[in-house]
Amino acid sequence: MSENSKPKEKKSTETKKATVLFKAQCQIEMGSTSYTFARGRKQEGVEMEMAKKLESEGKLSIVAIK
Amino acid sequence: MSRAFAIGSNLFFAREGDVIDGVTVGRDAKPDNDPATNYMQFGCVQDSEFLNNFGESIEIYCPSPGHLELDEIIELIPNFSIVASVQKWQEIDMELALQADRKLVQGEAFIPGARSSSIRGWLKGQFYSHSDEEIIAFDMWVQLSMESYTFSARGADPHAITFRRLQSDLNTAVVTNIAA
Repeated sequence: MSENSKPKEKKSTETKKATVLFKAQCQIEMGSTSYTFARGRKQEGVEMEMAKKLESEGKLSIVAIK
Repeated sequence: MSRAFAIGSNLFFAREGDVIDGVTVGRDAKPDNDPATNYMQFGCVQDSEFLNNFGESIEIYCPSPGHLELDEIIELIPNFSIVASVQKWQEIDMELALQADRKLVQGEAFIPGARSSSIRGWLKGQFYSHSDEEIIAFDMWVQLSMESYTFSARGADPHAITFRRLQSDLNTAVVTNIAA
């Protein structure tokens, strides 16, 4: 099989979402609303990019990815 | 510096269990008020009474040098409530007045006097002076109740709703514009 005929990996158009556990009080946009979450809250459906940024700041930990 | 003012109370509420933008409102999840439809507004509040109750307390007396003088008071159960006199009615007011067994929806049947769970949620208060400056703003996780009310043919009085503050790490308040 030539290089050109290899099936190309399909890029997912779906945005990955994370389930997170808040380690500190945190404000996050969910849809059109900004939510304030308390420490200890577990929350599904957080945009991956935002979750990673807040994880790097130590405000939450990512517990699952969908 | 100090100043006098009359206060207009605006009270907004987001109910526990309601789903806003995919998030369930709760003690540890508080929505903002953009869009404004995230919170319902209580209809035309006349007065808001702030009630401070310290419940039980322990008084510590110390000798000075021989007779006893009150030295310290330990307040064991501090709590805070707001009682608002509301002039207009909505579903939630009727639900409280009739102790409905479920979230009241106009036209749908419910059982009166059979409420088995409390109504809790986020109370967003915005108190403005007579010259429209914000004086107090707060977000408070609360439980609602309504005092007895008489439906009268001689004219409607405001009904009193009590918002009793409950613990949440997200409770917050700010006071501004009190210095002249």
